[in-house]
Amino acid sequence: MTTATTAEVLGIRDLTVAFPDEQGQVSAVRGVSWSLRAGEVLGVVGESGCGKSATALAVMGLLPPGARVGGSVRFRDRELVGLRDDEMASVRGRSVAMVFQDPLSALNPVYSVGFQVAEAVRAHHPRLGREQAVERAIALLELVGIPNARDRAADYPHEFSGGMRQRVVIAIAMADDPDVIIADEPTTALDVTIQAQVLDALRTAREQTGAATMLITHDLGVVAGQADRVVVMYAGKVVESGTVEEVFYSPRMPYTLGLLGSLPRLDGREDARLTPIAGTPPPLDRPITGCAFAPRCPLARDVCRTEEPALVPVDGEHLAACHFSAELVGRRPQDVFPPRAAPAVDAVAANAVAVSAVAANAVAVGAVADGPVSGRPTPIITASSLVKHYRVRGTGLFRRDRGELHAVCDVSFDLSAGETLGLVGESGSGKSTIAKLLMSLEEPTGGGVLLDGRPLSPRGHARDLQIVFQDPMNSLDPRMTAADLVAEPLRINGAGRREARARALELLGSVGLSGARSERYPHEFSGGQRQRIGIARALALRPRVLVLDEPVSALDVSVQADVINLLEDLQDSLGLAYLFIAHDLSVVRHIADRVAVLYLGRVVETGDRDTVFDHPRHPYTRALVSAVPLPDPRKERARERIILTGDVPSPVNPPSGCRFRTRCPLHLGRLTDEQRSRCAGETPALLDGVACHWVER
Amino acid sequence: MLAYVLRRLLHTIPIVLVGSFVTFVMVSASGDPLGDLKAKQPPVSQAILDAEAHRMRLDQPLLERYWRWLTGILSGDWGPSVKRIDIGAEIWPRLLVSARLVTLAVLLALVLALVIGVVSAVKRYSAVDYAFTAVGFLLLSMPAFWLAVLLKQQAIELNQATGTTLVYTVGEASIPPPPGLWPTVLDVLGHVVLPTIVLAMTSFAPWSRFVRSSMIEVQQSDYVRLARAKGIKRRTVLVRHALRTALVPLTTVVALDLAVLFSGAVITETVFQWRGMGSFLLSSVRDKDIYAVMAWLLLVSLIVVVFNLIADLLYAVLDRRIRLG
Repeated sequence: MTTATTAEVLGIRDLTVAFPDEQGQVSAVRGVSWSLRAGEVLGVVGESGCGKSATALAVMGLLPPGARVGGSVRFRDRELVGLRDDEMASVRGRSVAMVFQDPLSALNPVYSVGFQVAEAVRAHHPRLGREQAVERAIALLELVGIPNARDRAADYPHEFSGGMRQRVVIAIAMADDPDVIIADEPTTALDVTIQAQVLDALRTAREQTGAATMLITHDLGVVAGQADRVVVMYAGKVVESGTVEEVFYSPRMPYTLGLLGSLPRLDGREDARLTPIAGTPPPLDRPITGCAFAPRCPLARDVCRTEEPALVPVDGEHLAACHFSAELVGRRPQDVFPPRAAPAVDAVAANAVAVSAVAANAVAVGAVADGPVSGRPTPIITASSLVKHYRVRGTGLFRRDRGELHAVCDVSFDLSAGETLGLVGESGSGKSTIAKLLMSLEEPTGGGVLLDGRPLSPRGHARDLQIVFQDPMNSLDPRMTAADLVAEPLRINGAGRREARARALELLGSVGLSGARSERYPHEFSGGQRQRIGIARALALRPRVLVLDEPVSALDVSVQADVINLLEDLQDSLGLAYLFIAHDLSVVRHIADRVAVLYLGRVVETGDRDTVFDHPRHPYTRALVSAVPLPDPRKERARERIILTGDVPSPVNPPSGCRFRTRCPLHLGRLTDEQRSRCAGETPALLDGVACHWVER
Repeated sequence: MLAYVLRRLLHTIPIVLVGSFVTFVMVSASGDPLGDLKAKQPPVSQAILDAEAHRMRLDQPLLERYWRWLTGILSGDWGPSVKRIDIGAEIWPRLLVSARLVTLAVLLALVLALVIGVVSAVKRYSAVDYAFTAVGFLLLSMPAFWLAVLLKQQAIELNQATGTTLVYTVGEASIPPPPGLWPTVLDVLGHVVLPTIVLAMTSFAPWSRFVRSSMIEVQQSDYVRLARAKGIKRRTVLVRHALRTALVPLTTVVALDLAVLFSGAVITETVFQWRGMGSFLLSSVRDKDIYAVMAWLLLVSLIVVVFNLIADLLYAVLDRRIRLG
C-alpha cells in the first residue's frame, strides 16, 4: 500500500459532483475514491449515467457551469478541486490531458488539423514560434499514424475519417507530454477494425509520454485487453476495484458479475442464455438509502436496503462494496442471476394462441426445417443479386454525375421461418441499405427480393415484413403513448379503434410492458423499454420476418441482454425469421444461425455462425474477428491480432476487382505480383461461402 | 467555386424575370397613371390625354409594355415618368444616400449584436443577461416609426437646450454643404446619427438573440471543451473557437434581413426627410408612377439577391465543411 501511494500521480478522494436541476439536484458522482499510479492503465467501467464521464470532467475542471464539486482531486501534491479556471488551464494539457468520445465533434470544423495540434503545443509554450509548433504538430501526427502527415496537416477535420480524427485528438493529448491521459470512451464511436488501430495509437501515446492512463469505457473487452487495474462504477459510486484478473475472474460485487454475464461473447461456445440484470439504475435526483444496486440484485436482503455497504478490501487490494461479497466466491453469473423466463415469455406464449394462424404456419415450417431429410426449408425471403447504386452529383456548372456510390453490389441471401441471418460489416458496408431494400424503402438498381417466391409489393409486404430501428428514441413519435404507437400500424391497416387498442395492450404485455405503462410517452421509458415498444409495434401486424437494424447497439449491455433474450423468446414462440443487422460481432454470434460478412457492399464470406466465427477464411473476416476484444484478460492478451491498415475506401468508385485488396494483409503481404494483378483485375466470386481468389478450399 | 457562382447567377435570371413580371402586372393594375390629369378642372383635351397615354405606353398591351421596359433597362432606359423626370438620373444618387444609411445601420447593429450576444451567452442567466434580454425584446416590439419620432423629438429638445445643432433631425446633409472637407464630413455624420440608430435598433435585437443562442450552443460543443482541455485560456477559447464558429450562420441571417432593412429605411428616411430611396418610392406610389416604382423594386430585389449570393460564398469560406455544389 505504501509503494502504491508513493507512485500515485492522480488521487481522487470522496469526489462528489452534483448538477442542479428544476427539482433540486442530480448527484452524478456520490463519493468516489481511487488512485491512478504512475505508468499504469486504469480501466473505469460502468453503464451510461454511472458517473464515469462526470468524474473525468471534474478532474479536468471542465464540468458545465453550475455543477457543484466536492471532495478532493490531487495531481501529485497539488489540489485541483477549487482552483480558478486560469490556474486549471495550466494543469490541463500539461499535467492531465483528455481524449474525448466522439472524434467527429471534438475537432473545430473551421481550423486545419495542423493548427489545432499546434495550438495544443503552444498552449504551454507561448514562446515557441509558430513554425516550430507546426513542425512538432506534424511529428505528433506522424507518431499517431497519420499517413503523409506533412501534407495532411493543412486539411480540415471533415476531410479525415473518424479513426483518423481520433488519432488527431490523441496527438493533441500527447502534445504537451502529460503525466495523465484521460481517455473517455475513445473507441466507442468507431468501427472494430478502426478501434484496434486507435487503441494502438493510444498505446503509442502512452509509451511516448509515459503517462498514466484513465481509460473510461463501457466495453469490458477493451478493458480486459488494455487495463492493469479496473474500477467498476454504479450509480455514482465505485462498487468494485482491483486488478483486471481479480475483477474479471472473481468478481465480488453482484453488479460486476451481472455485467459479465449479460455480455454476449465472441468466444462463447455454448448457446448459454445471457443473464440480464433486471431493472434500470436508480434515478440520482433523490437520496439513495442502502445499496444502490439492491433493487436489481438477486442477493439483496433487508440489510442491503437500509445500510449502504462500504468499499472494503475483500482480498488484498481487491475492493468491493457488498454486504455479501463473500457469497460470490466461485459463483457464475447464471448461478446468481436467474435467466428471466419471466412475464414476457408467458405473455408471448399466451399471445401465440392469438396469433395462431401465423404461428402455426411458422411452426409447421420450422418442423420441416428440423426434419432430417429436407435440408434447407423453403425460404420466406429470397434476395437475389441485389444491387443499389446512388448517383453522386458533380459540382461543375451543369452538375453532371460524377460517379456512382456503390452501396450494395450483388448480394444474395435467403431467410426461412425461425431462422436468424446476421449481416455484419463496418460502416459503409451496405448493411442498412439492404434493410431499406428489403423494406421497399429504396428501389434496387438491380436484382430483387422475393417473398414466398413472389416479387415484393409495397402494399402486401407490410404485413409480412417489419423493421425495428436502431435508435428507439428517434423512431418513436414523442407525442404518442406506447399504446397508440403500437396501435398505429393496425389502425392504418383498417382495424377499428377498440380492436387496435386491445391488440396493442396485448402486444405491450408480450414485450413486458403491461398495465398503466401503456399510457406513457416514449420519454418516460428507459432505452431498453423503448426498444421493447419498437418491437411490439413491429409485431403488431403479425409479420413473419423482422428486419432488425442494429436493434441493441444504442443500449447498455445489461439492458441489451434483456432485449436479446426477448427477441430469442419471440422467435421461439412465433417462429419469426430475423434479418439481424449489427456491427457488433459478439451480439451476432450470440443470436444468429447464419452469418454474412459484408465489405463495401459485397458479401465476402457467409456460412453458419460457428464456422464463420471459429474458422474464418476470408482475410477480412479474419481481421474482423481478431479485432473484437474479448472480455477475458488472459485470452485477450494472448491473442494474435491482425490490425488492418488504413480506412475503408470510399464506396464512390471503389477499388477494382476485390474491393478489400487495398487493406488486405494477404494482398499486401505474401502474394506475388502476378497474383496481385488478379486481385485487381477480377472480382472474386462467392464460392463455397468465401469470396477470395487465394483462400484454400 | 466559379461554377457555383455562375450557376447561382443563372438561377437568379428566371427568378428576377418571373418576379419582375408579376410585380409589373400588379403595379400596372394598381391605378391609372393619368388619373390626376383626367381629374383636372377644367378638363384637359382628349388629344393631350391621348398623347400622354402614348408617352406612358398605355396604348400598348401589357406584355409588350413589360418587354419594352425590360429591354429598355438593359440599354439604360428606365421608362417614362408621370412627373417627366429621368428615373435613371434620379434614382442613383438616392440609392447612394440609402446605401449609406443601410450600411452604417448594419455595421452598428452587428457590433451591438456581437457584444451583447456574446456577453449574455457567457453570463447566461445572470442579471446582465436578463437585462439585455429585456432591452432586446423591448426594441423588438417597438415600431421603427415610433422610435424614430421619439428620437427626433428628443434631439430637437437637446438642440434647443444646448443652443447648437449637435445632431440634425432633417435631411441627409445640409444644403448647401458647409465649405471644406472636415465640416462636410462632420455635417454628414451629424445627419446620419439618428436615422442609423433607429434602423440599427430594429435589426440588432433579433441578431443579438441569434448570436446569444449560437454562442451558447457552440460553448457546449465538444471542440470547445477539447480546446479548453488543451490548456488554452478561457478567453482565447471563447474568441478563437466559440465566436469564430458561432459567427458563421450569422452571415446568412444578415443577408436575409437586408430586404427588411431596406423597407425599414423607407420609414426612417420619411421621418427624417431624407432624399433617399424611401421618399422616391413613396412619391412614386402616390403619383402612380409605374416605371419609377418598378425601378425601386428591381434595384432592391437585385441587391437582396446579390447579397444572398455573397453570404453563401462567405459561408463556404468561413466553414470549409460547406461544399458549394
